[in-house]
Amino acid sequence: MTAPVRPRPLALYPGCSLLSTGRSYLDSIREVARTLEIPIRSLDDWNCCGATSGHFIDPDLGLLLPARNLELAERQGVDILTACAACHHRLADAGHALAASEAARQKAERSGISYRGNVRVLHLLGLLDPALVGRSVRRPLSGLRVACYYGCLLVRNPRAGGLDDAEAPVVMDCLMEACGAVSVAWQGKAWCCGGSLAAPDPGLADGLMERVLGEARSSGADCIASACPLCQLNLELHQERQSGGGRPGSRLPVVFFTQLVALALGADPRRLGLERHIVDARAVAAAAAGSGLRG
Amino acid sequence: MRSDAAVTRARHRSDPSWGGRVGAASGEAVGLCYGCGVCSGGCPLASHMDLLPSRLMKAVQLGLRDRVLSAASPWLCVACQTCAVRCPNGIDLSRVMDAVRHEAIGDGREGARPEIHSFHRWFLRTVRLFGRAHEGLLSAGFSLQAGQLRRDLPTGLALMRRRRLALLPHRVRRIREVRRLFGRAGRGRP
Repeated sequence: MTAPVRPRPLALYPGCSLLSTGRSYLDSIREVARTLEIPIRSLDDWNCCGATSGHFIDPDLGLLLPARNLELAERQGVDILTACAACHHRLADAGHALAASEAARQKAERSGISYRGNVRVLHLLGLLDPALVGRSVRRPLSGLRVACYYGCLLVRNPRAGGLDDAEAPVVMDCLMEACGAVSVAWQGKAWCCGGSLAAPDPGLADGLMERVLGEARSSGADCIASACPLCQLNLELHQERQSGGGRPGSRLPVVFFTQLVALALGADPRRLGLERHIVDARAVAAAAAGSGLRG
Repeated sequence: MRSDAAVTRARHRSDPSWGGRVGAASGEAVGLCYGCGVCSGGCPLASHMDLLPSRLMKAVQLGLRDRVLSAASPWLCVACQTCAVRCPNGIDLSRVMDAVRHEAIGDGREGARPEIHSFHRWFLRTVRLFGRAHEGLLSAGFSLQAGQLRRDLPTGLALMRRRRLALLPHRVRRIREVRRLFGRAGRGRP
């Protein structure tokens, strides 16, 4: 008989975007963790996972940058909790490569990284059990129609395995329903927003984002809920480019799913970074507070 | 007299062993591709590519190195992994795209989409400097170098007004450990 394995404490790996363009994601994660009394500390001295760029133009950095974080977590005796879709993908993929391939382990060792493969990489959506969250809901998001947007990297990870079905994921939908919202049925939930292509070639990425937004609009959603700081930023900046700041009526707020969870748990909307959104998201918070979104 | 196939290979400067080398570098079994086209059908960027993903795979198998390395397609791949999870033979085509791109860079053929290469270099430069990506420096540096300040400034200002672009970098304390990962000189060197 083996002794039961005690789960190691979780350390949040915020990733670079959550300190900058995705600050409201981090703010709302802290609110959710505080309300649900989930103790979360940050991984000490973490570095960038390399995101797309690491593997895009370099044969080694896509493995080595995440590998250092896995080694740090192992030394600190923690498992890694991710928020960003790209961070999650890169850390999980590197963890899998280091466990499966002697060549990958040797490559890491040559760069000063000795990792024994004991760290779990868990995403927030895997941590927040809908049933558990549902029991703590104080202000149900009644009537709010949410288009849950997963994008690519959370659900598509051919080696380490995605968070959910690669084509028709539902974990975020279940969570939103547990918060009292209506998760709309739509086709675009795992379509690509263009990712890091949006900076060097916005014209090309705009086409992809228009497809996603068009699909969300025609589903009758009041907002899009995102689990990725780059998807969220892209979809907001796209709408800024398209409308030039005008025609507010046709714009669709894009919020982080954790902002909606925090609202349902009764958090103060002023602590969720909603004022940092480019497409006004305060109407979403007002709807959650019960004043109704559609008058 | 040379056979037709030999003439074709000579015309395209085919190197039949190259496909195997791409397979080894990518870790993917490129020989398993039988050209069903599921990757091209699902690729969100396919309509902008000069060589469809499935055609690129065939060209790799045939050893058409020149054709593949000069294509824009590997630069347009965003690694969304749609092809990777749909391929009936379990080939992660985005890793083949990675390997081909790395070889193109090593070959000095960065001309297919230089602005995309530049963006990723700026990203890694900030990581090498601070240990973490700095979105402000990355956007400003890339935009200035690409001569796209007029295009990018409005969105940059929109983010700054909302305090979403941190000006001061967040630094890793043991930055030497991170720089060591960059290894030989030149990779992402600021």
